[in-house]
Parts: sequence; C-alpha cells; structure tokens
Amino acid sequence: MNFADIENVWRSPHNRPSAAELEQQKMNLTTDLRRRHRSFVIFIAVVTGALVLLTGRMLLFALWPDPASDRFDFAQEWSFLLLLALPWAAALLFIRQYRRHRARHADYERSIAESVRALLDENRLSSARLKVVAILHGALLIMLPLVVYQLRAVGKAGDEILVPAFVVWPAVALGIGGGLLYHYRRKLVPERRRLEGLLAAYE
Amino acid sequence: MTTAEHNALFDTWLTEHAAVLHHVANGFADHADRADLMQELLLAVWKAVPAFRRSARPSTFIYRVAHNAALTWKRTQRHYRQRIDRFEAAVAAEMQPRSDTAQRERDALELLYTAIRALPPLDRSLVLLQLDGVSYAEMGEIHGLTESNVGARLTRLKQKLTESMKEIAHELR
Repeated sequence: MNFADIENVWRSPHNRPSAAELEQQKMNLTTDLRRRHRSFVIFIAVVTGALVLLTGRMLLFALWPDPASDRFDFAQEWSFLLLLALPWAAALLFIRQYRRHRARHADYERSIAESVRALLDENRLSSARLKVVAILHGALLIMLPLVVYQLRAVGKAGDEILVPAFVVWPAVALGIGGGLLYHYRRKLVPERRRLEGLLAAYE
Repeated sequence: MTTAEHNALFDTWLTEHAAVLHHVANGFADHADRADLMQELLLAVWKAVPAFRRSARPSTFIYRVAHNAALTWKRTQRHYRQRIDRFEAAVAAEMQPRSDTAQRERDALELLYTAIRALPPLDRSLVLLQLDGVSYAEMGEIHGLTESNVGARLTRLKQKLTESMKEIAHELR
C-alpha cells in the first residue's frame, strides 16, 4: 500500500455524511442553540435580579436613611467599607487583565497557532483569577472578626451575627476554596498541559 | 449581518462542506464521541459565521474553524453512557448485509481513520487537510506555519501513515 492507495480509500463515497445524518445533526444543533440561549437568559435574569435588589437596598439606605439605625460613622465602621471595597477592587483587576489579554491577542483568528496561544494565555489568566479569588476569601476571613467587632460596638449587630460570621461563612469559604482547588487541579492544569503540548508541536 | 443572512450562509456552507466536518469529526474522535465532536464543529462554524469576511475563501475559513475546534476539543464524560448506547444502536442498525465491495470500502476507511487518530493532533490535522486536497500554502495559512514547514512535515507524515496502515492491516489479519 502507498499514499495513492490511501487517497483512493479517502475518495470512497462512504466518506461523507448521509443526508439523514446531516439533518439529524442540524436538528440537534437547533436544540442545543435553544438550550444555550435559555440558560443564558436565566443566568442574566438571576444576576440582574440580584443586582437590582442590592442596588435598591443601597439606594433606600442612601436616599431615605433611618436616623436611628442607618447613621454611618466612618471612624468606627471603616472595616465594613474595606470589606465591600475588596471584591470591587478584584473585579476591576479582572476587567483590566481581560482587556490586556484581548489587546495581546487581537488577531487570534489569524491562524490556529495564534488561537492556541490565545487559549493558553486565557488559561493562565483563569489560574491567576482563581488565585486572586482565593486570596480574597482569605482576606475576608481575616477581616471578619474586626467587622463583627465594629458592628457590635456601634450597636448595629448583636449576638445573632456570631454564628453566621464565625461558623457559616468560614464553612462556605472552605467549600468555595475546595471548589477552586478542584477546578485548578482537575481542569485548568490538565488543559494548560494539553495546550502547551499542542503549541510545542507548532514550534 | 441579519439572522436570515446568518442562517442562509450557514446552510450553504453545510450543504457544500459537510464532508469536511465529517472528515474532521472522524479523524479526531472515535465511536461514540464522533457525534459529540460533530455537534461541536457545527456549533463552532455557526458561531464563527459573523466573523467571516466576504473577501476570504469560505473553504479556508471553514477548515480553520473546524480544525481549531477539533484540536482544542475536550472529550466530555457527560452523558457518556447515553452516547455509547446510541453508538451501539447505530452499529446494530448498520449490521444489515451489504455487498462485499461496500463492506471492504467501509473497513478500509475505518482502518485509515484509526491510523489518522493514532497521530499526534497537529499531524492529524495536516494529514486530513492533505487528503482533502488543500494546498500547502493554504495549510500554512490555516495553521500559521510556513509552506516549506508544511511540506517537510507532510513528506514524513505520508510515510508514517502508510506504515501505520500496513501495521494495522497486518494486526487485523
């Protein structure tokens, strides 16, 4: 057998999808697209709903404060603001990193090698994001005793905050940390190795 | 691009280049995973339609999108049992008696795909493009390699594929 024989085998009429197979694949694609669209709409609705609720509550606090309980004393409650600022700082950092990634790989569609380089960079970015989220959770856990102390000192929280702050939240943070570690080790690291191997084949 | 134009272009491409997607799906996935990869390829082409520039050749564009999707495709374990069941049902349905020639052609094709799948991913992609009659220059453009590099790799690959085919056929005898 030589390469000409292989080319003959390749040209066999059986080496193309039947009309029925193609029609079935198109139907599956339509179903898949509908499912993805529905999931996207639900995700956006949930995130927007949560944001609207939180923003509404903040607007109520800012525009119509209750003089008895909504007074904010910066000197005694600064740790609470810091706690709120950390996730925003992380979000801004993620946006900046993403924009830089897009700028670095603006022409990722030029060739498959460029696409693989962009995917590898995205994988590294995801790993960096996970590390930031893990550090953020650690920082929040460290800050929590101070926040609880200050809220109790100004009378905005009582003993009822102790269990959620020191039992529930650390347990949730531990679960999130475990999830992040699993995602890093089982998804991101094998994916990075696969992409590095693929890129090595080009170079 | 309007939705109607998007749909029309996708349908045209699918009619004209379905064989390309079929070759890529068979070259990168075996048995139960083929339908899964084919679905990923269709989805990748569907998503890529708005990025298509009219000045480009549709075939080059489809080759790049399909081979890129296949090279970065991750086999999922999700619904794997269902896929195996579907595959076994399809094989059982195909077990009807056929003429010897048709059966021999199918067997030879299956051997060829087995040999292609045994190659490393980039080599696999280059061999599929070669068999589809894509020029070295176009392959270089698709993969971001020089034409001479493509030529050198393919000279070695043709030899390797021929050897593998002989080995597989010998093992099956």
